Amino acid sequence: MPIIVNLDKMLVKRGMKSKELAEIIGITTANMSILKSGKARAIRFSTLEAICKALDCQPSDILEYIKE
Amino acid sequence: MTKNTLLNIAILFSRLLKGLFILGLLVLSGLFIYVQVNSKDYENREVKLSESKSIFGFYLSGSSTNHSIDEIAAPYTLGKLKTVSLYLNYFKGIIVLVLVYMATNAFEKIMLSVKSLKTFNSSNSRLFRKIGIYIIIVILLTSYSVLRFEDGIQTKMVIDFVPLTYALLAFILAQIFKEGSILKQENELTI
Repeated sequence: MPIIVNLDKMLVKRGMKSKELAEIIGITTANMSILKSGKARAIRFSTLEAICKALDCQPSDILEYIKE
Repeated sequence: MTKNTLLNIAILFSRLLKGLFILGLLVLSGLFIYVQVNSKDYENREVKLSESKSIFGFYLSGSSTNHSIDEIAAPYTLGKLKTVSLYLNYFKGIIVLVLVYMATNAFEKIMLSVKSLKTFNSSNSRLFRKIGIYIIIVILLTSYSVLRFEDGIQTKMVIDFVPLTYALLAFILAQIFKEGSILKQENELTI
């Protein structure tokens, strides 16, 4: 998929663990793993909003489009 | 879903049917062996292909002898039935029973998955496709029957649209379940 999830980079920048983020935004660690690995088919606006709020960033910091 | 009475009855019924098919298989095999062991007792018994008339289909039957009817007293008796024909018809019956058993077993598996709330998984789609294929094979096997005797032949051809509709329905359900499985997967992978 040409959409890349840069959640790992943002977590490193903010010094936060993925488990902590999962707890803050209210998703399971399994779903967090799916999101980080790029296996997710879609992301809800509510989830994206919660991630942006928790990491104090923009959606473009997390999602990136790369031409195939 | 665990308290779905209709589903539980259907599962029980399919298990009962499976038992009956096994019993039918044993009876057919037993009869096949018995008739051959006591062949002298049954050699004058007349054999005739059953007449199954279908409302939604075509039915054709025929018989012919090598000599005139007056020359032969009874051309279609068990004693005059060719061994190859007897064996072929027995194996055809066995294959049909096994296929019907397998189709019932597949349907039971689908019902069990519905009961355990795993309705839209990819295996159900595969199982419905299998049921469709089994029905098609059964239709092909049962559509043409032939009994070869020493002095004649009996043939029967049936094209029934009812089982064909069942096969079509099974293939449609397979496609529906496949779509359902994709939708479920997409829903599960939406974070």
